[in-house]
Amino acid sequence: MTADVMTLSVPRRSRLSFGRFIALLIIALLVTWTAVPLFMAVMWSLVNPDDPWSPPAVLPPSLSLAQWEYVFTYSEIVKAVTTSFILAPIVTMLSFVLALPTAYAIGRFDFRGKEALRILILLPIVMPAMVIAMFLSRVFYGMGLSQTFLGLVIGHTLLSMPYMLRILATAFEAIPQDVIDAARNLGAGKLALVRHVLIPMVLPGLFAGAVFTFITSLEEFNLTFVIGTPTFQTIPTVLFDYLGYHFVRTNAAVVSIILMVPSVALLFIAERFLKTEYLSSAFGKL
Amino acid sequence: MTTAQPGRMMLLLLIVPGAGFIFLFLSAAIAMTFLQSIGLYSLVGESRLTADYWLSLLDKGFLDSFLFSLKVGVGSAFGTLLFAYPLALFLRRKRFGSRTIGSIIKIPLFVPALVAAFLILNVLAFNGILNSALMGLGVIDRPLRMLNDTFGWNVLAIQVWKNLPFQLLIIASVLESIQTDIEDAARNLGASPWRVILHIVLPLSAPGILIAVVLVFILTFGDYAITRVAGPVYPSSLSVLMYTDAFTLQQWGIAACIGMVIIVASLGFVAIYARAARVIEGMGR
Amino acid sequence: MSRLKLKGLTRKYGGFTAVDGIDLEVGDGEFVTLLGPSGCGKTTTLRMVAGFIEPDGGEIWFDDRRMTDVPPHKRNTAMVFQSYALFPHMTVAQNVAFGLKMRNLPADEQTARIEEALEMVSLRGLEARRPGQLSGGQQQRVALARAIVTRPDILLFDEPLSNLDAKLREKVRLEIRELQKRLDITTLYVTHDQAEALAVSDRIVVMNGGHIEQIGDPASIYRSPRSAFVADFLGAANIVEGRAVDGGLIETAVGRFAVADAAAAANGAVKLSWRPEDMKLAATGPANIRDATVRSVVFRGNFVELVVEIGGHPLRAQLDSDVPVADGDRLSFTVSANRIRVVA
Repeated sequence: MTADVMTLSVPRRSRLSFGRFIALLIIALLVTWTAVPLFMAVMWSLVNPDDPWSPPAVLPPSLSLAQWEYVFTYSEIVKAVTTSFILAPIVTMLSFVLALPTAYAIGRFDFRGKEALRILILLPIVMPAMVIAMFLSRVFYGMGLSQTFLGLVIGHTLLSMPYMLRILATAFEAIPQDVIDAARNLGAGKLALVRHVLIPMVLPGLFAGAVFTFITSLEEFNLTFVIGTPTFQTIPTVLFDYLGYHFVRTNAAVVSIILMVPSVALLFIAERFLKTEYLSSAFGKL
Repeated sequence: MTTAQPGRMMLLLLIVPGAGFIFLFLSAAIAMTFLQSIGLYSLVGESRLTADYWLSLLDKGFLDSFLFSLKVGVGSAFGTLLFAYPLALFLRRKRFGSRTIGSIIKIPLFVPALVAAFLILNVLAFNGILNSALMGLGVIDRPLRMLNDTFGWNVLAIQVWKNLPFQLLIIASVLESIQTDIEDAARNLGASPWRVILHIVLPLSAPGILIAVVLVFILTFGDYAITRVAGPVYPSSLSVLMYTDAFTLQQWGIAACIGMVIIVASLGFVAIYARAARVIEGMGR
Repeated sequence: MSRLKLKGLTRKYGGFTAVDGIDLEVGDGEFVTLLGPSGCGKTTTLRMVAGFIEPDGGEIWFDDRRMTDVPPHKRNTAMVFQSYALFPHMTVAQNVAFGLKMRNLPADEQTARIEEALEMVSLRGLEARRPGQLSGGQQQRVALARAIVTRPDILLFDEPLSNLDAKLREKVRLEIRELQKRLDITTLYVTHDQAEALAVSDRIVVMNGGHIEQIGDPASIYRSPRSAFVADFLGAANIVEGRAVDGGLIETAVGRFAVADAAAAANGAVKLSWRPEDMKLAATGPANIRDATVRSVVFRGNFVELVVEIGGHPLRAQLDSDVPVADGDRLSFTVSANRIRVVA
């Protein structure tokens, strides 16, 4: 054994490239899996009515905004968009007001029944939406809230608030007790504590909660369908129309994009914003 | 974590707005479902306490729908797991492309159910991209008719597409909580990478898998929108059956019974989820 | 049991060299400790021997088997981790059995070996417990049992005592040492605690910044440090600069000294090092260090730690705790020539 010369472990390089190859393959498959359906929807929304698109063509022969024009002129989409975008902010604000105290209690205190409470809050998210929608609508019918805006607000809040609550509770929980004690020790009264410690540290959670609540309301279908239509239309109910009785692909594509864009955009922003802000607030911004 | 505990009154005051709101309307809805299922509170016709509605569930239509929903639930939950678990394992170690994969993977999470239904149906359609691609590659001569199949493959495809990132996130977080030291110890003691997964990772991630499966099951079992749009005409899912009975046939009593079945099943699985979640929390110690 | 040989072992992370061409030979059954501050590369080296990290350069040999490219599960080493890394979903017995199970040993032999291992670490009777039900000390023993039961070629320890309290640490390190002697397994041990290293090792490898500063048995490392770093890392050291003057003496800011290493004294500027306990109070007669002023007195139980100042230079000294000393006193000290080392 005369290994006096330094030898480089060559195999390490080749192992690396095999791993890379697999990673690239998976990325390619995922992009196909995820992006192709989206891409197809966009394409279908841009089909030129004078130039039909049929197999085996992979792309439509020519593009036009005719479908978009059609949807905006002949459907209830404008009213629906308005309703959706009035409803969502109201629901978000109401959710925030209702959720804040409860989230604070759950996040910072221990008490009997807390576990049960957490499950209660989780229920609107996991319970089958159509059942709740249908029978809540019966309750509303009895209360005269059927086909009313207030009914929609209540319904949406029921389904969206849990998100706000859970995120806020986590945000409150994450505030280290030490930070609060230090503030108190340095002379902060209740109000100062809230203003300078609690609110800033909870802000990113608040933002994320607001985003999720907003989007949940935008995308809510079952309840709006049962309680709101035909008096009120939201973007999802219009989409359902185009997917059900009158399945017109191109119209459905347009409405899908209208529904998707705000959601995806908001959520991407939230995801980035959340990581960095949260980290910096955790590092002692007293 | 606990500051000076507030008085009971104060605590109650804090909890009432959020939790109280949810409790109020949720229990109202569930109560209404129950009452209507036993004949009371009927807004169509007279109210009388009866078990008739429950008994009429035993007809073929209900059982077929029940089995169909069960099939969709189990199929979606495990079908998604089939993709999600290996992907989660693969994404465990930070390597080239992890972040890109992570971001791309999350997209279906942000796509609402109806849109997801449309997107996949579009791809699978007679003149959709899948057929075009297969014909272009010479695999088939004529386009396949893939929509509205009686088994429910469309529904499964959509649910898997939509729920993959959801399960992935859950499983990834559980996998992350397994300390690398433990895997290193196993390797050090002679376990090949495959045996590490079998003996260490799988058992330790079991509660997480349970949660992922249970949650997707609950969500897909009681689903209305996707099965209505993409599912077969017969049998329909339980939620669709319930809706039809109520709004088309004005049979609210029967619809309520179906609703109760869905609620009870979901609550049962929520209980399982709660247990598993507690186990996971215990492991984090 | 195998001899371990590391040749030119290197590992880089981007522009940072964690381990820089390490050469080391560990004899059969020898207990060698890698000692150094955090970031010195000792853990990286250990993990390369275990196979968890791939070296960028150099070779690893167990006897005459080249191990550099062999994956960790095929190396027949056994590591005791700082966190113990016990499998939380298995009982003590199952944990200890794991290595044997991976080697497909028949069940009855597994049982026999498990009992033997648990006996050696004094844990008989706890087979059915889970790690969560054990104390820190017990968990550590399970980790130890789990490692030795496989009769590894090389036993590896990654700061195994860091999570134990001080008293327990002293007790357990001796137990580990005794166990290792009994089993005669080649052992590589990593720690940043110099007292620990001195207590258990056959040889110590002092590492700093990715390379080896000095290798030697505990006594020679302690008494004959070759560099200021080693002198200061093991125990405390007084390090002063000086120049050689006539008469073979070294002149420094704190006094004039004779050194045993005459050859080193011949060079111009040198660095001298001695231990605080080697500074003896000079009652009468010639002293190297004259009239140093006491700046602080710290009671340490069985001795008193002093910081004295002379010529603007602080020095550390140790005296018996019953010697009366107070701030501001002026004291003189002698340091004998054979206690002074010339260091780089």
